[in-house]
Amino acid sequence: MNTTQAEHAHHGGTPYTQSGSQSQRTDHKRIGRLYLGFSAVLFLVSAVLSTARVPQALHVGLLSLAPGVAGAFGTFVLPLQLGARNVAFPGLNLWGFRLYAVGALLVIAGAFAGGPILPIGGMLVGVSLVLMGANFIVTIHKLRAPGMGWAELPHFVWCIYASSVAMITIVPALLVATLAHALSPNLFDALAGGDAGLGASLSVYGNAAAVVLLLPAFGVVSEMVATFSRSRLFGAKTMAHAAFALAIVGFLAWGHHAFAPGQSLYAGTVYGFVSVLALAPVAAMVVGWVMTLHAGAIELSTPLLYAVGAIVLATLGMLSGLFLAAPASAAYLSDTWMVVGHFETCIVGTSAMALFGGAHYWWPKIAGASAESGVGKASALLFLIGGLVAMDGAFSLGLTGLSREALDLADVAGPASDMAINGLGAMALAGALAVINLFRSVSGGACGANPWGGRTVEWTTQSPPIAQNFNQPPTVVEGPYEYPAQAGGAKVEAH
Amino acid sequence: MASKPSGASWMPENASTFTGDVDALLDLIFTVNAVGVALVVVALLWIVITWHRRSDDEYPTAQKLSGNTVVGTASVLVAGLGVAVVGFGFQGALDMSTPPEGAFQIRAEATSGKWTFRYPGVEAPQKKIHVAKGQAARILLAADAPASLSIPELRVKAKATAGRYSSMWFEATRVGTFEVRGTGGAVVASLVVHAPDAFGDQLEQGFPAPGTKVDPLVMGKKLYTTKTCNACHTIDGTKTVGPTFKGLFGKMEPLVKGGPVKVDEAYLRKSIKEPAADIVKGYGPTMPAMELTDQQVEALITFIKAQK
Repeated sequence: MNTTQAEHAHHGGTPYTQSGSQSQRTDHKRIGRLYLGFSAVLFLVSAVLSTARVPQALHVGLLSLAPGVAGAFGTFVLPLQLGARNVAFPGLNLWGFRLYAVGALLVIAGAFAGGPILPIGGMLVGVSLVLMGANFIVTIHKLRAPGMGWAELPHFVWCIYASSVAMITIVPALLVATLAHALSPNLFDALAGGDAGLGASLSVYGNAAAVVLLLPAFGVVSEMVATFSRSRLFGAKTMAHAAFALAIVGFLAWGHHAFAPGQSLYAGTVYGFVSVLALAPVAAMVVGWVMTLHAGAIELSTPLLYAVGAIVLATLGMLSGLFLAAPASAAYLSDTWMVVGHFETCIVGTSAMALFGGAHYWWPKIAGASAESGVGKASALLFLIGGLVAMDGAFSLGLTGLSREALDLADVAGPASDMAINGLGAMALAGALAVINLFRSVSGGACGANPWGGRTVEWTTQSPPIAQNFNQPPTVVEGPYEYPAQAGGAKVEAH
Repeated sequence: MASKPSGASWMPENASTFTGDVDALLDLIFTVNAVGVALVVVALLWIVITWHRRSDDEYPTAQKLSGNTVVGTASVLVAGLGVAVVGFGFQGALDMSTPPEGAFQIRAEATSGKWTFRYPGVEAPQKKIHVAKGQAARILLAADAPASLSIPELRVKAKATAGRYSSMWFEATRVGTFEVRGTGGAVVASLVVHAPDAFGDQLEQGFPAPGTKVDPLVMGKKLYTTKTCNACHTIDGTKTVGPTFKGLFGKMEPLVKGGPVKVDEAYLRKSIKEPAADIVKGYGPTMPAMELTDQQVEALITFIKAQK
């Protein structure tokens, strides 16, 4: 399975020695930093808008997380973890980012102004996701360092792979639906001869979107958990299988969101059972992370605190799905704030924690500095507490039957809505603290190549990496998390 | 939200036969969530405190097994738990989607998100949902655009969209008024649960607003057609199967069994309740006895008196 060095040089596109303005513009590190910066700015704008109770905040927030972890760390870290010079199609990567940036701005403009701008922007974002997924899949297949077989792949790579499969299969279906609807506005209008049920089915892509959001986030958590407990990932093979299982189940289970008018109880129940199958892969991840930490040598760093928070929120996200999967409770809770609590808080919270935790974890590679500090740790704890409080408030609102469309909680008095609002506020404040902490660290001076003692390939090169990533193409000789019994020893040898 | 008399404190008041099933399922799922999250949090705290690294040279204390079997087994167990929970709720879901035969039928129609409700025998569309306590009611929903109806206290909800009917049913267990929420969570109507013996009258009178004094003449005029009196008794003086109501009150009428009788309240009351007792000469014993409340009888008498 291993890629030989000859193949690697052949498929790697730009030779290691070449540099120039074109290769600099298409450098995955530059594009990864652009994705991260764009996501962070959108997240902060979304936080400010939510505090000001602007309903469009949700669009902005989702757009910051839609390519989020995959865009930022898939683009920046994936080639480094594989020991590659760049992604397989560097030019496509740059165009993908441009499409996403323009599309995201159009969606936001459309959310405020209305009109056809929103679907056009959404389609551009969709196309950029498809390009990204295809690029990642080919990169993982063709550009792995010599010696890196499937057994040596870090879990982040597996999760990016599974998420990419979901991107290139689910997103085109949504693209076609959006396009068809744009060309034929009556498509979902029964009074004009269309089919409203079709519209309901196609527009509820919650689970598919969740997979695209969650899988890369899970991969980031795995990396941080392994590094900061100095342990091999527990059940790594099963966790890799779980990543693909989640992609497949996410593909099948979208229907449980529908409980659409006229949907039969039996269809609803089948979807309910298929949905709970998603518990298995998430449980595999949670058990794998907890058991990796168990009996490890744990360093309570900022990224680890973010990882621990993400594990707690992922557990809640997984189990709270039961409320919406069992038909009898789903009939009552569908379209209520329970959905907001399950999806927006737990799932978006998990991926946002992975985004900020991953930014701290890979900050040495991204910015050449270590952002380890009390402020960073405080931001992680505040993020988790905010997430739990917001989730608790949203669940309580959902149980009273409050519709999710009642987005302006100012009209809904009571302790539950206060909790939901203040929790979201705490999460926004934590995100802002994290961004300040990251940027403050840049002036703090250079850090070493491997400040955390990580064992994956990206830690073998300088911080930040040189233009061509590695001085020599690296060769991998063992698994991704093989910590030696004593200090010292190296997994990767330079030729 | 009003506090509810029994069950979990976070749920709205319970007012239908479904609340037991739905709340039990919600309690179970809530418990699974609480226990699951507590387990993970306690495990993480214990692990982080116990295996906290004190120096940079420290390495894991235990040589770990390959965890594939452990992780796989745990994930299958958790998914199994999920399947069990969905299965536990299935009987309740089946009940909620199967209205019993003979359920009282209400047609709900949404036009641009505004709901109106139609009842058998009541001509004008109503703004409220009226049902009788202890009687199954089925609401058939139709809408010109996606719209929903939910009654949190009864744990029922249904969505309708253009071109498709949907329905929900419930049996209210408490007399009172409950909020009905529409798309977006706004209160769009109210559900009035009547006592079973009062419901018939209410339906007959087209659900007058509570506290409204019913005009017996209006009610009598309505009963004249709804109880099909008009099939045999005219109000314009024409003689058909039965005597006309025009000018009837106060008249002296010869009876079949002999002797004239003055048509007064007492005679009318007796003739409505027992039609065969005092038949006027020239007519047959064709009038059926009807189930009427005292209030309805008085309303009809008022109506007949008014036909001069």
